[in-house]
Amino acid sequence: MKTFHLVSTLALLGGGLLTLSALPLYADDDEHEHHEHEGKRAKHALTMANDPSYVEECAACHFAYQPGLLPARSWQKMLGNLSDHFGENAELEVDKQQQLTTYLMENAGDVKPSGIYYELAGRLNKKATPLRISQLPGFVHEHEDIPARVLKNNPDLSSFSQCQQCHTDAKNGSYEEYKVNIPGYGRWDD
Amino acid sequence: MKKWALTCTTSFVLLTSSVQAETPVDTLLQSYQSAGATHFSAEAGKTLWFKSFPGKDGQRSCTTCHGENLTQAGKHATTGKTIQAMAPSVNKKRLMQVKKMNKWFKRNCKWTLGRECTAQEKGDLLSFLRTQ
Repeated sequence: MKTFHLVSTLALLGGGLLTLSALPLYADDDEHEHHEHEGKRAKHALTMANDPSYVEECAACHFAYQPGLLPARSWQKMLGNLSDHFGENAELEVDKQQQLTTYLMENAGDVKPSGIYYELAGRLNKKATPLRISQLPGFVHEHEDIPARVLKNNPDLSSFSQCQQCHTDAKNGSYEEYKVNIPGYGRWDD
Repeated sequence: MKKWALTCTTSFVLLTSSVQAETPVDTLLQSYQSAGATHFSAEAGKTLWFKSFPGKDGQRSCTTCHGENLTQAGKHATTGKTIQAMAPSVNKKRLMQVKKMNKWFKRNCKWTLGRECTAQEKGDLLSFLRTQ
């Protein structure tokens, strides 16, 4: 990776300042950074998960996944079965459950589009209702180059579910690769 | 003079007891008694707190996530998320809201014991936790 940076830096210097603005910040599927959606240019980052009830009820146990990471139908299904929430009981009082279902569905990825959602779920079968963000086609694609040894026996990473452990700006809805820092491993460039 | 002192003492006792009855834990303990629970024991609560129950992924207890030391933060067994210390002596937010206690008792008893806790068990646990 360091070699990559060195080469990049040299390339940048060699290329001269005039070309700087035209160069992408990092190499990846960056041509997908922005997408046209219904005639509007969708922003890349996700809207923050900042609903106080959502933060209190859901983020008590796990990272506050942005509503824009899943389609509305996924949130509806998930919130309808909180007594078995990935094997755990996460039951809410009925009014709170309904309130959060509304919040998540109204801000879902297929309702309020973003570049990230397009990357993750652009190729998702319209009839599929995934509950795990890590099973979205784009998620699998983006993470498939990460070797198993990075996750295995890593005390800071039990699975791909802990976004914020590697994506240092995840809480702000920003998942750009240049902000990745894997615990015990470091920066990641592919 | 004596009468005045007696009045003062009585008022003080009444005031103290009424203040105590207003703490969220007391509110819950009273509701557990109404549900048939009897004498609450911090010792029994401590035993239950550290007791292991078989779960599908091995033994589970309150300490699986909250840790052995109640004055220190714990860690969610699945997500790794930090769980702030349970002891009210170091975490002033603990045991302060009836709604929260009800919610977590329901969720966490089901995860740990595989069922909801009884009024007696909840009363014992609160009696233990409030001393920490």
